[in-house]
Amino acid sequence: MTKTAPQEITQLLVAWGDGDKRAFDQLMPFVYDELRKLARNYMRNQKPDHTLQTTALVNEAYLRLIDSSRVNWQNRTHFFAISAQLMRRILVDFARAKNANKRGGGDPKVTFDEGLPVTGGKDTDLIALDEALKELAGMNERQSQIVEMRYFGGMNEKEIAEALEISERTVRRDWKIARAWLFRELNR
Amino acid sequence: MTPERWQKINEVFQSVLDLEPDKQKAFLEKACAEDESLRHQVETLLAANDEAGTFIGGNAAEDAGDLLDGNLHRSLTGENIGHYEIVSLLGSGGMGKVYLANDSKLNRPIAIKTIPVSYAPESDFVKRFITEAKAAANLNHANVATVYSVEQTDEDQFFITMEYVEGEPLGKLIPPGGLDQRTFLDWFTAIADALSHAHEKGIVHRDIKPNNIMITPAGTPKLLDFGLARMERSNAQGSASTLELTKTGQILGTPAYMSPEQAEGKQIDHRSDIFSFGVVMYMALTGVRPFNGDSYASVVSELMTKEPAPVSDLKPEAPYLLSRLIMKCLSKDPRYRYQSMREVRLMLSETRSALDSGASLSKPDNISYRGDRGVSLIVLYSLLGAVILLGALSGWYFLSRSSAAAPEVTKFQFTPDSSLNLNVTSSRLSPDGKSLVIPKFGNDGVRFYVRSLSSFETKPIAGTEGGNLAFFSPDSKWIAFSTKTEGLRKVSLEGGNPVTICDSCTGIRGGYWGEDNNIYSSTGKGIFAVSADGGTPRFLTEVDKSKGETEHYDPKLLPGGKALIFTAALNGTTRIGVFTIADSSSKYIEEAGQAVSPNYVDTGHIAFARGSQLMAIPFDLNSLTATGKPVLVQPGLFGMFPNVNVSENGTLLYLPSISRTNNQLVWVDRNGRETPAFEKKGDFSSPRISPDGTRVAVSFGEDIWVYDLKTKIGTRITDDGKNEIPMWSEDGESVIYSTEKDNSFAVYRKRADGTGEAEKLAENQYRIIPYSHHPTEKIISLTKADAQGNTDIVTRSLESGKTEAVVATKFREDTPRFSPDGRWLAYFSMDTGVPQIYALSLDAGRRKVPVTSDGGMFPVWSPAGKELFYRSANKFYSVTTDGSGVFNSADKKLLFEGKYLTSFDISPDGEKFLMVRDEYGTLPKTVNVVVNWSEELTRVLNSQN
Repeated sequence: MTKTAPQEITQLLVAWGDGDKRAFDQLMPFVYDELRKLARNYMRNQKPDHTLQTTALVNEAYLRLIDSSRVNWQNRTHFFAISAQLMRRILVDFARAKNANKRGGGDPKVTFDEGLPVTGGKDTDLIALDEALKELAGMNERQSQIVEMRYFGGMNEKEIAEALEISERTVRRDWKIARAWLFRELNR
Repeated sequence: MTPERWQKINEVFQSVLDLEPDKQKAFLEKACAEDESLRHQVETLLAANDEAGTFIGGNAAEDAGDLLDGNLHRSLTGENIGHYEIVSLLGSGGMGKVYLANDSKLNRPIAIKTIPVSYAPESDFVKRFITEAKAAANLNHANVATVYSVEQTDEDQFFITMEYVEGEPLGKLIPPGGLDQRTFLDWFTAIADALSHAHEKGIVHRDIKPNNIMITPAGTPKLLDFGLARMERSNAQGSASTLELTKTGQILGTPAYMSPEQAEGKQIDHRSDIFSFGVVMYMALTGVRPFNGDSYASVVSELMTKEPAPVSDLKPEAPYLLSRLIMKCLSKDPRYRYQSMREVRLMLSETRSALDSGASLSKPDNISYRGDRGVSLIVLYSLLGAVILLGALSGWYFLSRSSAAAPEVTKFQFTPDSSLNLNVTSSRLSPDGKSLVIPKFGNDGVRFYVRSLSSFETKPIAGTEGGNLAFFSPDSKWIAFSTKTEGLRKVSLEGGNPVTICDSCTGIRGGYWGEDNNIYSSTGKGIFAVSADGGTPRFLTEVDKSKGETEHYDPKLLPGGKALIFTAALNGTTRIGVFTIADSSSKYIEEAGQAVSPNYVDTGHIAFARGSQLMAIPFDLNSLTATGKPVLVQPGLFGMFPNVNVSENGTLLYLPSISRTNNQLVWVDRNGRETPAFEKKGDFSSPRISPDGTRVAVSFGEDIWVYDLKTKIGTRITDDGKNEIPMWSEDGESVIYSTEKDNSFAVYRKRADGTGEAEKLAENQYRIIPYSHHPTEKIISLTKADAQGNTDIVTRSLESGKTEAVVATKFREDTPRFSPDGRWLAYFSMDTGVPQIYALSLDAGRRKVPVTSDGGMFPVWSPAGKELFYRSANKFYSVTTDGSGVFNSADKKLLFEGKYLTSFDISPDGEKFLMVRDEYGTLPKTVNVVVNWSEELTRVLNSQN
């Protein structure tokens, strides 16, 4: 991908904030690339026993990509919302890649990152969660988004409420039932 | 499951949860009476809700930690590294693990910090680890955990050995209401000393937080973990790896203690530590963190936008000074914090010794000066940074203060009582640097207020109604002012009725009360003197109309009383004049043109304002001549009002520039009908339309932006320095603009889409501005300023780099624009004292044709070259021409009138003008004060030599 200047990304973000849905599609690849790069760097170079904070990652991506002096806080929330979606994809891709490698084969669609350590840690059910979330989205898309923003994006209730333009109470209620449903589905 | 079915389940589930537990079962029975499956769904979900516990309660990346992190780091407990026996794991530091070990050779406990084996010895990570260790090993301070050595194991694993500090982290020792004052001062004075020591060695900690401060059982604080400390960059061009360190460092910091600039990922310096130190002090003294939030983003948001509650609100018994000290450290803008940790330490130790002396540290209600000694001590204290509080200090200070401190430069900005709506643009600073006199222009005429910097109160001065332009007596105890009816008067600030000094002195323009007890002032005729005790005015200078002079004003007596300096207005510019009293002669300081508001400073300079710049010229009091060229002290200091006041003790008062945040680009047709070019408002100026009419290049703040006029999407094309006044290349591919950086000026060309590198086309020691491109040849027209501030017009070939002076006089010439046929250059000149437009033929004859006779600026050619547009004040005119040098000035047409910024441009069809609507309507309300500015001046001047 060609290197894109922060002002263009900022412009896209602002345009998206103003209601231009096409801007979102243009924005996604940049943010995805950046988050993925950062996540990879974390694994390779960061303090090994420092837990990875999604919000820290997203924040750094934000700082790198966005000309913050020209973006208001609402745009920032939108950015975090995009990032939540992308973090979900990144983490699930990583999980798939890891599984593929363990099997010794490879899913041709996923490139495995050479820096990713292959370890015998506990199996994550990220893939199952991802599948369940897709099913939930079919029943209620907003609930799936709330889980995505909170769990994958590290956003709090207030930020989610702002991004989705609903009340914090609605966020709490949706979160509760969505979480209960996911828990039930994954523990069948 | 269908969305509808799921919706039904949701409704029942939420209704159940909204009920009291004892009513839930009955409700469920009723709601699901006919629908067993619904009941099953809701019941299992309610059960899941109860059991879910921490399920997805954290964050995904963390839960996937194994996946992402890997088990890179094995524990070393129980092993030996060289002669160090690892005893136990103490914790995890900035980048690795920290162990308690026993040094078997010296038989002492030490701490060992390791990094994982899996990192290649030559990797950036390891280099960083070593750099950091070396930085920390440079520190030798009782309150810093000492780094002993950097070593390497047989397996190439690097580790640091350091002092093992027993004790508790500060974070654990802060009780809910905060520390008691004495403990607080003891600990923080020590930490401030340690940090100050580190800063002086060029080391910034970057991660100051309560858990990085250990308190030993003996009660000694130790600053730990320069784990994130980095050597400050010693040169401007940091290598990529240095930048990377900074990048990474920014998110390794703890957000709750980060500085705003750190959280924003900007370049940080030691002042970031001062902010973090302020946060820790706030937390330790009040027990409450100033910036809170339940997520990373919300903490950062508070940090960026919220002003924390003053310490004095949370802990009223805390010394007022301390509250003030902490709040100043928490200024969002690093420029308004203390500028060095040494100042902070000094303030803390002063407060502590005051407390030791048993004096009360609470805020007193009244101000008490204790004679001259007291006053001078107050001034000394002001050097330590508490300027606003001068008078708020009570007697304790005099008891404890015994020796003078080195002068520190302190800067602050304040608004004297915003409710009064004072006109700060005419404020004057007292000679002792301690108060301001400020007029208020009310409906019932002018009256004056005095604002002591030692008080929060802005007090009216009785008897000054109807006055005009006040100034202080040399002892700062009186002010003099002029009135229309009673002439020049004076009044004591301690009370009493005003006294008339000179009833014939009306229509004067401010003045100066000299040490010789004469008042120096001016009228349209010249500068006069009158005894402050009363008498008849004697004229000293006379405005010489034959020399083009229109006014002499703003006189000031130089130290020694032999001469005055003043400002002379002539030929559209201003000069600094020197009047020698003994022989009644005056002359200009030729080297300092375009100068206003001159002040003699005891560094041996005359400081003055030129445009937005603060300049200084070396000046010899004996020979009364300039002994060098003016130097730029600070660019971009002033806005519209270059009111510079320097007190005798070197305090500087000036008005800050105000950014124009509401300007808007608008189209205006020939009849003055206005439509927005686009909605965005901001600090726009100098718009230029691209040759194809699709884009506009415009200054926005300190950058150049190119906006697509159709999509309204903008691209910032500059990223460094202070950029202004764009123009287009002839092909519309590039934008050429002026840049000021590191006190020098240059013209750059950059692609209009922002890609590629900026290419330097020309440079100059003073301002250099590009204006237009020749239609056929690769030549641009520019203006170039000289040391005197005059601008001349030059052309420059972009191919050969050959520069030709086209119009060079001792007057200002500006805004040269090539005609569309390339045969003429239109510009304006100040050669008659008012701006007039000329057209210069570019053939061998170089004919200069006057276009206007009653004033005009900023000529712009119509695209067909048949008209020339220009402005005179807020009126916009057109004049027709046949292209051969004949301008039908008699037929000039007033097109419209409007409040627009000076520069404008015309659309390629010649039908509409692109203007910047000037929303700059308000006067500044704040003043900037720099205490001991003369120290800073000395430093700036030394650094330029």
